[in-house]
Amino acid sequence: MQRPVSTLNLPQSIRTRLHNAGYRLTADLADAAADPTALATRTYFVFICGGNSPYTDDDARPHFDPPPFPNLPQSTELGITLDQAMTTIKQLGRVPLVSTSALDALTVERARHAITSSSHAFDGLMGGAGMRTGRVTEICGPPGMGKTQFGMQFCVNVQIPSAAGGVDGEAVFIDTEGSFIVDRVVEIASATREELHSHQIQEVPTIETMLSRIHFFRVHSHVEQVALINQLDEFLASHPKIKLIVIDSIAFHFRQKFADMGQRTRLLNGMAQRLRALAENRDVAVVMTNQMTTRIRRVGAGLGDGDSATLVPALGDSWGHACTNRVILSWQDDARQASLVKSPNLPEATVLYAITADGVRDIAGFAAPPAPAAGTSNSRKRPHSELGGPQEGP
Amino acid sequence: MDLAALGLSKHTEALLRKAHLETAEDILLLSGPELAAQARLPTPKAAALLRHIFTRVYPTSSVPRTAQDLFTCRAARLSTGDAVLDSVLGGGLTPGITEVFGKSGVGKTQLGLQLCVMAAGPTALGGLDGGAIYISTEQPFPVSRFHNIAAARFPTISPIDILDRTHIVHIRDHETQQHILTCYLGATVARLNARVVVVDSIAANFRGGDVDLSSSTTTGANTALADRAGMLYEVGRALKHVADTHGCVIVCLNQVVDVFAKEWPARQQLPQPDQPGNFEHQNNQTAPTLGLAWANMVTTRVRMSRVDRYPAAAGSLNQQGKPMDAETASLYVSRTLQVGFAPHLPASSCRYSVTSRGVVGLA
Repeated sequence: MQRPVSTLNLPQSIRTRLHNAGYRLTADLADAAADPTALATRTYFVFICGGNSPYTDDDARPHFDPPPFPNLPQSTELGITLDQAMTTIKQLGRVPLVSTSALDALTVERARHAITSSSHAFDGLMGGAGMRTGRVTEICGPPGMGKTQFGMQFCVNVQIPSAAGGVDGEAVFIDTEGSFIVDRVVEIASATREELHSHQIQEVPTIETMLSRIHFFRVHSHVEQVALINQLDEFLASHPKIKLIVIDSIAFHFRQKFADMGQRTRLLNGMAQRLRALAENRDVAVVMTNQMTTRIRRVGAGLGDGDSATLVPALGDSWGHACTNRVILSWQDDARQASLVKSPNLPEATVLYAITADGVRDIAGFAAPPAPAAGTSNSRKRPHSELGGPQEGP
Repeated sequence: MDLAALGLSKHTEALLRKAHLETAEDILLLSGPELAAQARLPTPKAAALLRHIFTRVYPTSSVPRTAQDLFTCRAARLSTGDAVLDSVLGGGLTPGITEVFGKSGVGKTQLGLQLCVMAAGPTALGGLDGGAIYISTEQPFPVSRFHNIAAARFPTISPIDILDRTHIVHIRDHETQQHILTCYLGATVARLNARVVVVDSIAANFRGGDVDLSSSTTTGANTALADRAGMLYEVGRALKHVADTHGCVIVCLNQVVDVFAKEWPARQQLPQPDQPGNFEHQNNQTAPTLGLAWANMVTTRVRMSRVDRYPAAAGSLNQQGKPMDAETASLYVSRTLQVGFAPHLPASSCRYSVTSRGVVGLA
């Protein structure tokens, strides 16, 4: 592979040394790749020769003899050390362009798991089976809509044993707002257990087991949040059963006034990127909640009568690109409704759901997305009502 | 976190200081390549340094907690001392921010006083045997009323013990409030072993003159709104931190504003708030102050409301034209306590009355 040495991800000093020693393309380094010691000593040798290679044109690239003083100790201040030689060679092995065929991607996609929300209607909204692993989903809504309830419900449902069509996994719950109340999780967990029992599922985990499979992190500032999210990869590596990450909420610590709003955008995008990578590489579902904010459209100067205010998800427009799927929760008269407003593969739709003592559930008599007569709906939504929810009960 | 606490080599620390990176926070907010460029470190070293600081700022390995750990060491709930109210509140208040809002005269302050009494009361009688902090921003602390409630709630012990454990802070301006809540509350809660902090009310100083929302220019008004949201975040974050680290219940009492529907064309068609008969009509048109920015900070929201149904002609006077005594008047007043939202509670409600014992639920 012909790649200029100067484009390798190396410290400037090493790049200069390599350049001065006459290495221009990665192919020139290929023979050294087998033996880092040789590379280190060779460069050293060239350095004693005067530091600058006398050969400047490519035809007269230097021919390396074995070093004249093979037993000389390597000097850290002159040539490159063995460590540096190793890093250089590691860079060579990297092929920067990694691609997968669409067919492979489809196979991976089909192998993804799904975590049910316990509401068939909501599962239908998310494509039939619930939250898919490998995806990042944002649930937005004003306070009291049930964002945290969804988070807790998924934490419990991710543990449904595979005999019942579940994932049999563990969960990470990152609490930035202090709204994770463990007694409520116990309620949801016991309701889920009863439901599993009623379907004659064996080996239902006990409440204690369920709770001990939810890894809980409380975050008190945006700095802690950044620090934690950057360590999640290692945490997931040591806990391979984790199939779900809930962040409730992603926005809280980023709603403050940043002196540099550019920094906020950069931090948020960095986090979003890490979460997407985690979802993909570790095959986990990432669910994050977001607050809503009022966007005021001003007419004229100051606060006036013509101003209109709308509720929009917090963190601004650029954050809207960060998540793969976005669900907005709101009140429709006296019923709670969830609207899928952004998704690469699912049609936009709105369903009703309920928050009961047992957790997230369907509203009685409402099990599928609304009929096409509901106005905004289109024919693409049809397949959903036929798909229904997960086939776990009668 | 200062650099010195991070356990870095002298050389690295010197490089970082030279690049004006004085705290862990400064460094963490940079990406790897940025750090490498700014501190003149080699890229792999910068990445390793970042990883090291991540583990220092948030040690995932030393504090692996599961929900089971939380369950076994969860703090006792703060009872209101009343079975009916407790059943609506799921056995009492949990650590976190609980907002109680309602019009003046519904009994918010009464409930606040009562919670202080319960926090300081003995465990055997349903209290938490700790301290209480009452931060007053509106009226002076009604100390004799507090004494009465303490005596009525715990007749067997001396109210002096309760009073001794309740600490009162008066704050009259917004800047002081911001400073005390964000910087000093945590240490004070720890020192006094406070189980409850009541802020009565959270909004008074925010609604005062020094936070100017009526700026004449669009940018001025926008900046003022953004500033207020930023300050509310600071307060909310600090209160949540205190609640979490000390297992302390934070109760914020909040005022209400009337919400006017846009289509009402003129002022004279609005219901007159001073006509008692209109209270019920008015009731659903109030919302807590400070808007959505504050609502996002609240863990549990509780609404207290009252509806007065005096006989139409007489108002609060009886047939003889004399003021009614408290008992008769209470027959015409219906008060409701209602859970607005909470992560652990259904939206239930109960009726209550205000008596010598404080707020008492009616079954």
